[in-house]
Amino acid sequence: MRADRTIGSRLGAYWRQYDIALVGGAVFAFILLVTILASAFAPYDPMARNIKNRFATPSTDYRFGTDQLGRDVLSRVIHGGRPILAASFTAVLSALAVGTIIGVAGGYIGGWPDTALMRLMDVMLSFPSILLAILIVATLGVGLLNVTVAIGFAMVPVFARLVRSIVITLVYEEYVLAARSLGASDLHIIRKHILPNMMPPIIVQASAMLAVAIGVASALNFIGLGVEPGTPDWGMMVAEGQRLIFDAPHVPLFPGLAITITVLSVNYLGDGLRDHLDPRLRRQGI
Amino acid sequence: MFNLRTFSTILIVILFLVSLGTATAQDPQYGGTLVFGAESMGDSFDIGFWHGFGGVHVIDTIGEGLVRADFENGGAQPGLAESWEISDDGLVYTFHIREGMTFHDGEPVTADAIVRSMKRPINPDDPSYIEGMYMYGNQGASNWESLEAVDEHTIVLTLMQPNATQLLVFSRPDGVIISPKALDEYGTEVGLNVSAAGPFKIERFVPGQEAVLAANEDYWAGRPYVDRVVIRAYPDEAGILAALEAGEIDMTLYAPFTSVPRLQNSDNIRVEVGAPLVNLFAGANVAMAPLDNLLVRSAINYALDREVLIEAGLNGFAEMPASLIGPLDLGFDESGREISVYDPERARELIAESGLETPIPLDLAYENNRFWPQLAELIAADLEAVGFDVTLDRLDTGSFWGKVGDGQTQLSINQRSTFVPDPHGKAILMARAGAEGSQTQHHALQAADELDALITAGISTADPEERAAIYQEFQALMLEQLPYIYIGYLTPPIFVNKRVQNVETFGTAGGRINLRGVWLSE
Amino acid sequence: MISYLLKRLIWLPIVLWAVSSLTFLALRIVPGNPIQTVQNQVMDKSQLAQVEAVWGLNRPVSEQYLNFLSKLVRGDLGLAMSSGVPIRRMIFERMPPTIELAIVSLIISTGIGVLSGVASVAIRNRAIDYSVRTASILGLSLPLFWVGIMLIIVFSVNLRWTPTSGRIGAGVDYDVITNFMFYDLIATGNWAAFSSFLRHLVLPSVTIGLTSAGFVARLTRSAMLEVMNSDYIRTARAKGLYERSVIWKHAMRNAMLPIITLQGLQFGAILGGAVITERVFSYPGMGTWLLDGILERDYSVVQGGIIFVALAYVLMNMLVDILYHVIDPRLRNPSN
Repeated sequence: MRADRTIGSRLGAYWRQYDIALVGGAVFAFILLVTILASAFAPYDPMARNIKNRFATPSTDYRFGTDQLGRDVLSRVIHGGRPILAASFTAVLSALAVGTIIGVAGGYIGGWPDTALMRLMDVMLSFPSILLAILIVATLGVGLLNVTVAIGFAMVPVFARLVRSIVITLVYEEYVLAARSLGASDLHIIRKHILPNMMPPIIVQASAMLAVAIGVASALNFIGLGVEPGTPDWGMMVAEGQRLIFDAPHVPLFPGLAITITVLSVNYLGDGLRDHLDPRLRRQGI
Repeated sequence: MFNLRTFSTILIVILFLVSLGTATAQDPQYGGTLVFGAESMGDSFDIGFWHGFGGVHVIDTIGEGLVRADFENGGAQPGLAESWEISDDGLVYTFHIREGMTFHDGEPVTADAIVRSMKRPINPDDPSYIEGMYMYGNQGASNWESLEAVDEHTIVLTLMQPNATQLLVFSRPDGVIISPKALDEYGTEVGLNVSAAGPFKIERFVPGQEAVLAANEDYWAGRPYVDRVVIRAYPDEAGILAALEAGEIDMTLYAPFTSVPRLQNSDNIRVEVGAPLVNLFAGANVAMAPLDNLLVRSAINYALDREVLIEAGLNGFAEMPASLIGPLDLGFDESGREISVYDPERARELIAESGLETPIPLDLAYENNRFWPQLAELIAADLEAVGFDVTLDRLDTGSFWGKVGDGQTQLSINQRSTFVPDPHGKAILMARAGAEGSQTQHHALQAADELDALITAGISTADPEERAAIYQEFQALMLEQLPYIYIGYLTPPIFVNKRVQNVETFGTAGGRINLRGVWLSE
Repeated sequence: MISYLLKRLIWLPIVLWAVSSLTFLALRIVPGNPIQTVQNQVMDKSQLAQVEAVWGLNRPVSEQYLNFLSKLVRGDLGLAMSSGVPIRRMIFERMPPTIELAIVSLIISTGIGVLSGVASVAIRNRAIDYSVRTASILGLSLPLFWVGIMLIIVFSVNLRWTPTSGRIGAGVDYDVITNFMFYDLIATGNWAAFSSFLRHLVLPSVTIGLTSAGFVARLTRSAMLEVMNSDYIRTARAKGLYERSVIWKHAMRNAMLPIITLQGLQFGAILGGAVITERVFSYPGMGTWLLDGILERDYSVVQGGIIFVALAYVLMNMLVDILYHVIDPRLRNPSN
């Protein structure tokens, strides 16, 4: 009895602290599941055209209606998560990896390598990221991989600067100085003392950047430089559907909602993770 | 109580108002501001450069060349020249300039002023000369032996070779005559301060945004009806629709076609249908496999279900195609309609006959704007149904033309709208010169020289009947060799506010608006 | 401080050189060139070879590059290849509208972001906290072209409160002096035009402001949380200071640094990157100009425009650094 209560109350406390993060996690898990097993969930072939049934409004046959070529919007929404999520996650994670290497190198080594790296980041940042992405896609051609490269490339300096700014505060922390005076190797210090302490802000930044990545991916589609045409993709559907907003609002609305729900869930999950990893914030209870 | 006098007074007032109302519905009215929504607004109106269609609309509204084009019946109409004679050998043009005209800046329109303006691209000493004014290339100056003002109101142009389109190209935007005072005063920045002699004059220009044009009180054909025309950029299709519905714009060509059914039922908007001046087609790169094979090109021709393409891709705003030359052009050949048809069985047979292994891999390139992506998807589906494996190649404008120019596309879809009502503007696509940079790479075509000879014959023949026969032969050969496969003649919707009356639907359909006769009711 | 700034200034030309060289290179790698983009408009193809020669496009890239650099050093940005207009003239036309848009957007996003960020921490109410967090994430994720057209539909088409697009009403008269309307219209006392201008600025700046307010709110929230738990706030509280003064004086001072950094970056991003917003609202700024330049492969437009964007970005960052030192005296010893 007593043990149960303890577990129950612990779970209750855990739930109270992480409720929204848990909901976010559950929703995101569901989205991933549907996205990965899309064919099992989709009622129709997302590519199947029915010219005679264009712009059908939502009905029991077509829950989300049909689009400009008479394709089932629901099936396209179910299939449409894979490309944009794959591109955005890959872009953010690769940018994070590269940015971390640059940021740690600059912040930890300091001196002229740091200055040179940061000025290089300045050069990249001063080139508007959307224009940079457009140039990259125009050069490499449309397609998922190229969109990923374009978005990731533009995000590297953001992470590099963030990481560096954390690292330069950490290198003067007492435990780092102590470890160094004890003769710990640089790699050891970075792995044991610096990387773990960077995680909370980086998780938050990364989940926010995922939202940005999805936004840029949609924007690229809007300019006509996104995934291959015809591919069911949320960004593409929202972008192509924008001009239909007066005449067939259901076409862009549902993929737009899918984007929003996904981004919200990932960000709540990220916030929860951050709170969990950062003991100081855990005490705050918010 | 009831007073007969009051009653009759009221009755008379009502009758008067009604008669006033009917009068306004019939007789053109002066006054008002017409806002035209363009897809872009350039940074200058220098006619030596291309500034997008927004720029063309402004130049067409303020400008006047020696002649104007008659898009409805073909041929030229008087412009700054009230009449002209052409010598029998087609080499000497004598233009009689209307007397008493002035440019917008008050300078008199004289033969000297016109010659000066026309020689701007070939006179590096002119203060307004800029290296690289490529649009003037359309004026045919490389074929001019001499151009002189023989007296104040007469100009004589002597050509080296006869050119049947010479007269009409003077009606192009790059044929607009500019005031010598403006050319001197603003020099190379004359494009920001154009002073011409057309029906409207520039009052204010905000690059990238709008041009405010005021009626030219001294226009030779009389002052236009509206007081002001504002041509304003709306690059986003949904944005232009919003502006149309909010009553901010009175007229546009650039709203999405999909909105037409709803707008046709709206209280304040009317949709008119433009003439079939623009040809939509797929160009086949005949220098590269598999499109070097006539059987394959022919199979593509029969594979396209044009009714569906037009209905689903263009919302019905196109006519069924015949050939490269349009139904309003000289020498149009109706019989082409029997070749540009849907016959998937025949397409499959042709592919079988070609002996190529199916599915045949094929790239389809197109621009990433307007209706092209949707058309491309539909075309790809048609082609896959008969045995092709299509890779869609969506490109931005620069990449599209870059790839086309390098001969790296296979099948590519685009359009041709000539700026003057003459078949040459479409036929020139097949000229031998420049073939290496063209969509079809037709230097590799068997009939390349024959086609080139027909184009040359077409332009150097003066007699319309003889010319018509030449273009019919040209079309027959084109349909036999199929470097182009035709999708349709676009009949674009013209969106207007119901208060806009007397809209010209011919030139407008080809992107050349004419607001001289437009007036606003109410 | 001054020596630090001088150090940054020395970097300025190097950064600009790197940016312009990268731009130059990128444009040569992208398929298509300015001639090919206009070829469809010109019937006499022999003319095009001539034009190609005029612009030196037939020369080796290395030669083009040296030529470009030597002109750049002399401050000659050349003519736009597609329109023949001097680039400096276009910068005058296109830069001020975007700077005005950027400043107003930043004011909106800072205002909304800071207030909601503070509210979510200071008012100890989960509902408020969650709604602020949700709204800020929404702001990050909603595509701008979507937010923009929604605002247009609601406020311009249905309510008719604001115009749909443009920088000022169609056909409104005004004098251009600096092309900054906040200055020009006030200096000339043209209040009718000024009110039209403000009404046109509302929706595009709110579109950008709302979406970037999310960043500010998140940043404010986390910075506040950090500070609220730190020793000196606890000391301040222990001293019996009022909650309000703790929040505004101490916590905000700490939150201001990251917010200023972020907004400095945002300013640079909006300057050349408000492509989507400018397009949806037909706003004649740098973003649409540069986008068209890229799509038409107008080398001189893109090269000239990007240099100015980079210049503004670098200067803005220097300003941010100066503000840093003003706000946080601890940083006056420039060890990093």
